[in-house]
Amino acid sequence: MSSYLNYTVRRLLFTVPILWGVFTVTFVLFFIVPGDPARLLMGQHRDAATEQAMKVQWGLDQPKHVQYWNFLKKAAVLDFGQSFTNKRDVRQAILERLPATAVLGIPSLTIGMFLGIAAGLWSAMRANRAVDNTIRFITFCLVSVPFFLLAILLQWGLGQQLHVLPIAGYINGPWGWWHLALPMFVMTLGSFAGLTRLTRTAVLEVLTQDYIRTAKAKGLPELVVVVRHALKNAMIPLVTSLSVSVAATLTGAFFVETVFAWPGVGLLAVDAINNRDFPTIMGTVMFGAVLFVLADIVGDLLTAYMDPRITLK
Amino acid sequence: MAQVAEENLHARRPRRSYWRDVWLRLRRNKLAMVSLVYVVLLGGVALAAPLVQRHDPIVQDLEQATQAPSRTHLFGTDLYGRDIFSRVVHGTRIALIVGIIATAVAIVIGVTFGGIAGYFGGFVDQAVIFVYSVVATFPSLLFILALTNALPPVGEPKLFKVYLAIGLSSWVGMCRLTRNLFRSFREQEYVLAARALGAGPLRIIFGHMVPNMTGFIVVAIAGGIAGAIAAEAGISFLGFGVAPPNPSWGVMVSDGRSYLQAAWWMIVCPAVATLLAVFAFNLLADGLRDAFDPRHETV
Repeated sequence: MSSYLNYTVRRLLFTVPILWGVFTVTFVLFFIVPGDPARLLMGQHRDAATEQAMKVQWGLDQPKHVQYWNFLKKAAVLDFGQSFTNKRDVRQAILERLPATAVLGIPSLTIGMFLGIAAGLWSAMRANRAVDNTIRFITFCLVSVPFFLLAILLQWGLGQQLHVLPIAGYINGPWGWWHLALPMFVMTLGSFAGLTRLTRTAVLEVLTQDYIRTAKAKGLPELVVVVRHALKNAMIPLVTSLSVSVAATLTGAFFVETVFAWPGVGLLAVDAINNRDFPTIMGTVMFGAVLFVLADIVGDLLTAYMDPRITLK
Repeated sequence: MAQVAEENLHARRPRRSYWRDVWLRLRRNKLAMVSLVYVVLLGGVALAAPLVQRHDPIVQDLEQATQAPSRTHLFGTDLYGRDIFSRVVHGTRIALIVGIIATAVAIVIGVTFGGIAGYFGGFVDQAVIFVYSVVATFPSLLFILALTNALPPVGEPKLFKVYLAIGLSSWVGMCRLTRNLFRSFREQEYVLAARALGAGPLRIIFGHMVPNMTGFIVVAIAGGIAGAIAAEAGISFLGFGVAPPNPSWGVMVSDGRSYLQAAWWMIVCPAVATLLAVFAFNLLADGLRDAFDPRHETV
């Protein structure tokens, strides 16, 4: 157990320079290259006095490296200051938006994972037969379709044409939970498709191994062989790529939240970029980066737990 | 005896070049061949867009606004009376240019960094791993948007930075693959032989090792173009991509979104064009993967 703790601590330490890198890249891309944020915010109607006042207020009158250092010091404790557009605390804004993204993302990823594993398993068991070809065709289409097109398509079909589901907006009122249905369906389809393909490949890989042949030779029913013996090993690549799944879910959330006007972190980020609201951009970028890093560590820990051949070092 | 067997083998299997072998295997894959034909067709349409178009794709004609598909306007017209067929045709140009530039950028960066990291190992390797870890940790969409924001508008009609941003954000996969491949190539005899003959690192990397991963690169080109077309459409949809009068498929989809009920053709035509292009490039990539590596055929 101590080796797990040890590993986690060291991985967490290694993430510090990575997160610093993400911070610095974001700072350079938004703060240095395209010129003065205060001027950009003022837009067409700028007057020198107000501009100067804004600069002082946000510390933009200081040299870039001082700004960088001040920002970094605060960002280290996850304080990103106030939004340029509405002066609200960025961390608080993200925390307020977080439940909306979580209520959409976590169930979608979980359901997508279960369905994906089941479909991938089924597909691999019937390799190159009708079932397999159908599943492969459907998942290929889902993986290829740009995510926002899928969202628009389903919004139009299920929401506007069939009037089965509400087309946009957040949970509101007793029937409000229905608003969750369409965006969640789209997100689930997204993670389902990717994980089905991954599972299929992994199971096929495992099925050629000797211990599976032995299990079959013992006379175990096919389902037992696949579920009890093959799946355990086939799960490993899935768990290892947990961070990839989380990242894909987050990217999906940007599009789904935009299409369905869902007030989550993704919409916050897209709006922030539209308004060049630098503190909020930094906050959401770092939020995504921390999420990715944590998922990566959890994935690696689970992999080590499941695969005794891997030793944590 | 052994000699006879060998002669028989030669008699049965004529000498073929590597590329011919790949081509013959690819030709057996119907889906991949259909995709290839479609891709060539797209290329032709993109090159000959001014000849294929039936109207000007940018000039507005408000009297002809939102007309349903007809003989004069095959795919109908949009809000400003622009012919959607001509806009989709010109959009092919943008889509392919996005695909080619973004993929070229991603592959050149990925192969160069990955190659150097895999070949030298040690500190250089650690440095490259650090850089790609940072890029991989960055939420990908925000990275593209941040780059689009920061890059100066280059080229005409100022779209180049979008293509560059997509390329700069999608090289990590190729870099990781090249690095891993090179770590195994490094131990092989031909590298040792080249080194013994006095070849320098650059010559070994680009003259001997990179040609050994041609298959991976060709597959990555096809897959990368599909990804870049989808990415450009997505970014344009969010409103950060190609600037309005230009007929990008993503812009057309996002313009048409509000008029789904009233004028379905405004969104359906560019959406289908995007889908078909992405499908074709992805299917071609799958086919090429099997053709280059017959042992690893999709079981």
